Amino acid sequence: MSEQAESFRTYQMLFIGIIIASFTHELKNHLAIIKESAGLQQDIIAMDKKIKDLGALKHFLSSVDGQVDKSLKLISFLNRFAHRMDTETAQLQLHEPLDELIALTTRLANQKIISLEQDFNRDLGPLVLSPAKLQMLVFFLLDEKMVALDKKSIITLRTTKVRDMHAIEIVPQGQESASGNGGGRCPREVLFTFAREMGIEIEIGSADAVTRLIFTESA
Amino acid sequence: MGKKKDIKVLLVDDEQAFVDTLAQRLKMRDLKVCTVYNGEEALNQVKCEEPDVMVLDLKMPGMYGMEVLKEVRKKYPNLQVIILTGHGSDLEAEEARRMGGFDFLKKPADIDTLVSRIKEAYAEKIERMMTAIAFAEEGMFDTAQRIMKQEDDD
Repeated sequence: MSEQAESFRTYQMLFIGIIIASFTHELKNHLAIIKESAGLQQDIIAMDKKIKDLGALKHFLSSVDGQVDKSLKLISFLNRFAHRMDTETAQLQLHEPLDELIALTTRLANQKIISLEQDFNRDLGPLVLSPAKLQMLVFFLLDEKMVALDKKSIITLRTTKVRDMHAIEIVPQGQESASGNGGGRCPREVLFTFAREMGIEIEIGSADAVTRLIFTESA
Repeated sequence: MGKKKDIKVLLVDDEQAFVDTLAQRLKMRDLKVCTVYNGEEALNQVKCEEPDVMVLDLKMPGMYGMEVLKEVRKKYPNLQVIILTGHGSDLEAEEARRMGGFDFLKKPADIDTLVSRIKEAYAEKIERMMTAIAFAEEGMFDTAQRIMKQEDDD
């Protein structure tokens, strides 16, 4: 395997690991709520306590229902994410893998109290691309922005056309973090190399810090 | 006969449904429980009314649990902290203990185990206070202070 291919595999595994860790942590939280709710019902029965407030009991029971629904949704997203690896390339609307990516990375952004927003033009026309590789590339660029920004910042992911070519813009809004000079988890030069191989040109605005991914073969 | 003192517990976790349900279960076991949903609120609450034991999550938005633990150990050395996290690696468990955390439990924890650890943490706190008082009564104030601050002897 060439050095470049090996480097790509390494970062792909890192990306998958980060996403899985984030999801399993959230799933564990939902399961913990279900377990505590079940335990509470057992306590009520075991301690032979009279249920004075049926409303509270209903609330706890519907909370279990809600947690199961949230868990199923997470599992469904994770499943779709995993199956993205099955296809090398596919004809897709640009926003499709990005919709999924936002769902996958929202929890990570929430940890840093950063909001992830979307501004997708859904009528750009389809592209042939590798959704898995694109998700990885955009994820690490988002990661870089999340490190650089302070709490309560906003990052908007936008699909648009630039110079008549399909493009993704990553638009940061907020203060720079005092400790955020270290960059993201994947070095920029590596990301630029990945992008070039995918027919994507990365531009980073010096004034507005907007990162643009331009699909040069889409014009 | 003196009135039995309820152990005051502060639960700190951003998952409100989890922490509210856990609070109910602990109250049914005669613990006096207060809940907050992030690190900053935890420090504010401790300032208003110092609990006996804090049960603290690690991964919270904003102030991470370890930062809260660090602040608490610095300003409230008598406050016992039990980490209760869904995340925790062995490395984090070691770091938490090194920083003075009483115990490190993984979510979801068995309720009886958690209650048991809370009571043990409280008992350790009381024993430490009694030992410090004994030294203070003997005029060994420095020693008493070190015991209260949980400083290791060199």
